[in-house]
Amino acid sequence: MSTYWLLSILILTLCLTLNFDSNKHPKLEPIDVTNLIKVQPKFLYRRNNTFYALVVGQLRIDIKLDGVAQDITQYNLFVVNDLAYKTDTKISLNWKVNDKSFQVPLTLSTKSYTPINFQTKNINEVSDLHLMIIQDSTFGTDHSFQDEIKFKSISFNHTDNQETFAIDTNNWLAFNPINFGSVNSYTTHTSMIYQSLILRLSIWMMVTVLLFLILKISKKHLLFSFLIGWFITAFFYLNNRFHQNLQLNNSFPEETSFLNLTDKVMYHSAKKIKSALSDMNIAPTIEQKIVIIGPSDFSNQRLLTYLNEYNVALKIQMQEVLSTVKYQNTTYLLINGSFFYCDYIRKYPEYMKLAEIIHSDSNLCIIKSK
Amino acid sequence: MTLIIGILYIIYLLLLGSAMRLAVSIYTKDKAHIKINMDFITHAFFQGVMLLILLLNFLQYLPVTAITVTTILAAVGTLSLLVVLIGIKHMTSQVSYPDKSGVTLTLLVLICSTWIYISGIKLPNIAWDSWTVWEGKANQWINHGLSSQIESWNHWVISSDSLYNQSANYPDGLSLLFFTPKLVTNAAFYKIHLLYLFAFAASILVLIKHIKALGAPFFLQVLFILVIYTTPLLINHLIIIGYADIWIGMILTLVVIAYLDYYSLKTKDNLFTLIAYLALLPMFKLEGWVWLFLFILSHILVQIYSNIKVRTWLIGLLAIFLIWTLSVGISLNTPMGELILNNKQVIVFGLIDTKIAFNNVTDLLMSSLFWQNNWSLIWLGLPFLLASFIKNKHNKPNRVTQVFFSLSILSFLFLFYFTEASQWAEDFTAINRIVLQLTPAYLFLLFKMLTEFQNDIKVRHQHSLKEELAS
Repeated sequence: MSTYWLLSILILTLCLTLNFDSNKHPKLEPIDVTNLIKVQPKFLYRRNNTFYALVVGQLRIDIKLDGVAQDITQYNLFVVNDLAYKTDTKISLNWKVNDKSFQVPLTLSTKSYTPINFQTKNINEVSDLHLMIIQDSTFGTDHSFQDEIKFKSISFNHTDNQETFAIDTNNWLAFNPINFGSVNSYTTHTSMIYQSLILRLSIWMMVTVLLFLILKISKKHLLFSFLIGWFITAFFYLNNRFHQNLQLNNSFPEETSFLNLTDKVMYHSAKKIKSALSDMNIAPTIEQKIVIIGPSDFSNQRLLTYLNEYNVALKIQMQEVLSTVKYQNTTYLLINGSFFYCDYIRKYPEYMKLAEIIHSDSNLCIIKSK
Repeated sequence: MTLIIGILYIIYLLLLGSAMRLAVSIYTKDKAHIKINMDFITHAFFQGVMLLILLLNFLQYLPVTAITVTTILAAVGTLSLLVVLIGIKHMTSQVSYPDKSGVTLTLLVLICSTWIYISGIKLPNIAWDSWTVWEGKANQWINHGLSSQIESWNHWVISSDSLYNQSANYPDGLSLLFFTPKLVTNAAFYKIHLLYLFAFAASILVLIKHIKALGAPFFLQVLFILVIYTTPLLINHLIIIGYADIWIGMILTLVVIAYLDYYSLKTKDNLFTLIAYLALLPMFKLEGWVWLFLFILSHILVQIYSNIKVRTWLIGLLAIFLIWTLSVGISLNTPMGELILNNKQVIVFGLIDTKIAFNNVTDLLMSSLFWQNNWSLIWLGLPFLLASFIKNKHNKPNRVTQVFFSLSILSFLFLFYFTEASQWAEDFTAINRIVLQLTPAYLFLLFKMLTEFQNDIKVRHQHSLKEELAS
């Protein structure tokens, strides 16, 4: 029994700490690029060895590599020390290779280690290297006008220079925010920060099963090993849940039906549309059909939701709508991108035979079938 | 206020279901003695859900206003209360209180549920399919009447009296659960959160009871709760509520439990419970039809498997069917719709319409099951569970659940490797949500296997469960 636990704990330690990358790289000194960053004046200042970046909407921090002797394409880790992020900001490292853009979201942790691959071995092909900090208004309507992001230093490094366990634990403890797609998957496929945790613990659990079979110990020891494995993943999960709760509390400090700022705008647009429809004696009845012309994106879907008291539908192509909707009592709402159809209708007599423009202002065009 | 209305809604459903259970018991003269325990509460709740959906489905055929619907629901509630009172008078009832470990586990589930409730308490309905379809349809009925026909684009454009919804073909069950509290309050969404959490907690407590009846030690029961409440995507569906997949997950698990219960103690009550759960499956999602079909198929396969002659015939017919389908193909026009099966296309009435082609989604599947941390480490147990199906000797009802689960996994793999559903693997959507539908049942079977592994017992389940149910 003691042999089992001794071996089991030893193998768990090895599984969590070993670097499985067998490729040996020449020793690379880290490149500190903190002093190579360039920002629009007044949006970055330094105090007590800490940089303070002011983000109003978004902030671009260029990394100018002129004069850097090392080849950064050899490096596979982007490190930000003492990063103090906000739960409603997104930070990414961006660059171009032969005009093709690449973007890697930064791991949101106090010591941020983000794995990178420049997708080229030729430094001359890399251009436009910069950090982009964006105030993320995906959730909530209560965002601050200005966010302040703090960090002490920025560098390019190589995983060979760092303890695998240190990089991994930082990533496992990093903040993985809730987003609209969170009902489909816990982490996005572009930022699978728990992959190495699951892989390492899976290997350990399979080894414990083998040890159990070889050493023929009591079954409860194997079950306790599973309990330990689960506790480790549960710890990192609960840590992230704590951060996600903070994110939700910041985004939704009170009960609201608004999902975000765009949603709030669409609510007010719907109110204006209802008023315009009312002025034209178009009542919210099932007989009176309304079609919003536009793509099935978030804005139009929310508009559709807010116009729910009408018999309303959404379709992208005006031409298709005019040729398929045979029912006479139909009104078409043209907003934003689809607004040009109002002119389109005016230009083509064949459509003017089918429909007439009954309202047109700078925000809205309403067409009614004849 | 949110809490009160939410709790009242749960009590209303419990009342409906309790009345139905008692009425069935009185009618079938099955039992003169009713035991009020976790099984009774959970089954009553889900039967209440079924009764409410069926009642509202019926009212959809009548030109009723919201006030009439509210009045009818209030009348049905009053009638249910009367049935419960009569039932209690005519039958002896005994409240079964949980023991010390039961209280601890119930408290643990309660704490976990409260934590989830607090996590999502201020979150509006952010799930796209939910506010467009599940809650969206409920809003349409509130605005235009419950009997309003809802159609997809092609039908809507030629109709003069229907409403539009992009997914009009989805079953109405969940939308009707959203609809009911909207009759009394505008802010119904937050009340639904309690419904989700209660349904989930009640299902989990029933599963724990059955695992305990198998002889699971206390620590394994605690581990079960820990696993359930720290499996990331499972909990995401309880915080970001609004989707139907978790309902299918709960109902499917309770189908398994009800099936095992029925074969432990063949009462009409238990048969009714099983039929009620099976009937609930297609009320929530179209996939429910697939799970229902697979469950019935598993039952038939296991029943006829013991007869060697029939088994030989069955294997022969299956081989001919497969060879014929793959080489010539089947094409039938039935009253239910088209049935086309060949090596290029599958059309099954209005339910499935897809081209057949191999898509290698192994990497996506690995990401979905492991690397995205949707399911923590649970799917590591799958090979062991499947191996245990082959190795151990099980009785017929257990065999049916195993065949069902194996067929479900095979169907899932076929769906994503060979049909157009692979696009949902590529965008990491339904690949995870269909897994979610199977996850609670899988966890129950996994912990059942662990308990049997720990105890080396293969038939104890039958005895202990029989005793538990008989008492």
